[in-house]
Amino acid sequence: MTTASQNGARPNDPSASPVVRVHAVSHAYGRRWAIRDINLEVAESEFIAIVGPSGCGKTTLLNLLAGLESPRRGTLDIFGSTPRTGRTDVGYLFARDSLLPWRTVLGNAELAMEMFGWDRATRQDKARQMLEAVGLSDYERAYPAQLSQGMRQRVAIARTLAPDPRIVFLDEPFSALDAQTKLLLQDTFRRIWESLGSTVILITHDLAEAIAMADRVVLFTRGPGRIKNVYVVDLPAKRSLLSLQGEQAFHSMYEQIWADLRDEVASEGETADGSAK
Amino acid sequence: MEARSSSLVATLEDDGLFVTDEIEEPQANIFIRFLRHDRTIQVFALCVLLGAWELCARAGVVPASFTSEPSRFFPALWDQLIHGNLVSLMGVTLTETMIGFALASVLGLLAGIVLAESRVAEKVSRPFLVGFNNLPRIALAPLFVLWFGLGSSSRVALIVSLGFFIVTFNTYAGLQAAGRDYMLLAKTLGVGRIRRFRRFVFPSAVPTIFSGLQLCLSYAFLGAVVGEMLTGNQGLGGYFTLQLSSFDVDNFFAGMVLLVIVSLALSSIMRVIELQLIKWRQIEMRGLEAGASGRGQRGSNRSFGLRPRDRSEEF
Ligand SMILES: Nc1ncnc2c1ncn2[C@@H]1O[C@H](COP(=O)(O)OP(=O)(O)OP(=O)(O)O)[C@@H](O)[C@H]1O
Ligand SMILES: [Mg+2]
Repeated sequence: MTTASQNGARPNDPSASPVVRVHAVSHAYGRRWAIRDINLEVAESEFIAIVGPSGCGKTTLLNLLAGLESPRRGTLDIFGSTPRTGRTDVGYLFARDSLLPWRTVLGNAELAMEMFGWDRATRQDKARQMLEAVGLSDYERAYPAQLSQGMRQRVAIARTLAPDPRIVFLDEPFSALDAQTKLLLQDTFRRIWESLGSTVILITHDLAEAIAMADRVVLFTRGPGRIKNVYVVDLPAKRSLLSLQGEQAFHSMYEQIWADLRDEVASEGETADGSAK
Repeated sequence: MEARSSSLVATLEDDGLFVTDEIEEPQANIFIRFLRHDRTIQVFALCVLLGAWELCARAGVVPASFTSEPSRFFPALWDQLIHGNLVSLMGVTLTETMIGFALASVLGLLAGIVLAESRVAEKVSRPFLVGFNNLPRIALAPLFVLWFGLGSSSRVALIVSLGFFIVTFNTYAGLQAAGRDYMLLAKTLGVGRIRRFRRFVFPSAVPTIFSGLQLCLSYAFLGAVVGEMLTGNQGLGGYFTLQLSSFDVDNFFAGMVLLVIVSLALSSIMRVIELQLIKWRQIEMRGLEAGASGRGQRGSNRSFGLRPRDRSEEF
């Protein structure tokens, strides 16, 4: 039912030209490798999820793609050019919400568009629309300190998606949420994505989330991270996340990836023990 | 997205959130409510203080000819305001204070910003600034008289020398505190240097800057009065010297009361401006201040004793 391929190319759709290209990329902090030899191509409107053990270099890859750092080895390109910061067609949501405490919810949702120089009316409109989509319309005048962690995360999602980016990088956007809110928001996000048609790279610790939301799941080895495997998710493009639990395909997919992921997590435990001796 | 929207009754609180009528604020007994009402306690404490003063003086515990007493210095104040020249003296002191405060604030703000934004400026000038700040600058007052003469400008110079460092250090400390996450966000969004400063760095420094300005204001009054006392002929300071040299403690305390009232009024105005500008900070710290007297549940938070605004003079 599911196919796995060693490298990033999308086997069932060779015609689509990739909008994100990662070629033989390695990056190090100081003299320690964080990621090694990453090859990945993401097609237009594709939804990619990256999973892997903690510290394996997932955030590092996103930082490279967002142009916050340059790789030590290899090349990356986005829409055919080297990644750089300040692109209005790229949205990046950090693992931490990083809301500005002196701005209201609406002000925070507007922030990216304001920095891009959009006019006030348009950005307020877009911000309100996004806040409504994440269920925070009633809170637009509140300050971040008055919100729960999950609500803050939702404001950050609204801030990231409001300028209609064509590529979205998400670093564990749903991790602060309780199970039910998470499911609702994942569903909302997927629906927004289906209507926007943007390309998404989502990092997550939650394997079920990766499978439920993405077209392909990229599994990293433990740090320094390499790509261990890429799985094409064999679920309908229009899916309701709320009913996935009942689908057999979902569960077999989960079993398969979890077996590989468990190897990585387990071998990490062994090295930790080994170094302690 | 959330079930709570069903129970919303459409009242928009001034803090931007909807509230429902279904929940009542907890009502404490009358004594507790009295204690929670800051103004009431303040007035009460003032009455106790003045009453005790009066009683002690009357009972001869302290000699009234040295300490005066409320029943004497309040009429004296009235008399001096109507018949004496206390109003114009206060005017002189207030003018010096305001000019000195404004200069110290503007210069201190600029210096703090330059220090925070320029590595080189910070590295080079830090030892000088710390050194100057450690000088007992009140002792420089006679020097300022020598340089600027007996008039108001020597007082303004003294005030600037006191207030400048306070504002500089607070501004610098506040600007340094801008979080790494915000900087990263600004970078991702491709925000330029000036914009990053205005939208990301400066706003997070405003609370700290304001505590510096408040302190600077106190020092401005101090500088003005001490400077005047030194030359002994002008303003409220000159008045104090004069009254003491003729052992007129009633008139002396009358002047003190006026000074306290005026400086309190100015501090309160600044506080009001501050509350308007950094409402977000108030909301953030709600229920965490030492002995918080806000609304809602308090309880265990009381013991935190967080005083986030005490950052004066750190570098
Ligand atoms: N700014 C940095 N300076 C030095 N080392 C860093 C820095 N950022 C990350 N690293 C190192 O790079 C490696 C990968 O970090 P990264 O943040 O990419 O992991 P991650 O996969 O996102 O982990 P997690 O799932 O826990 O967020 C880690 O070993 C970490 O110690
Ligand atoms: Mg990470």
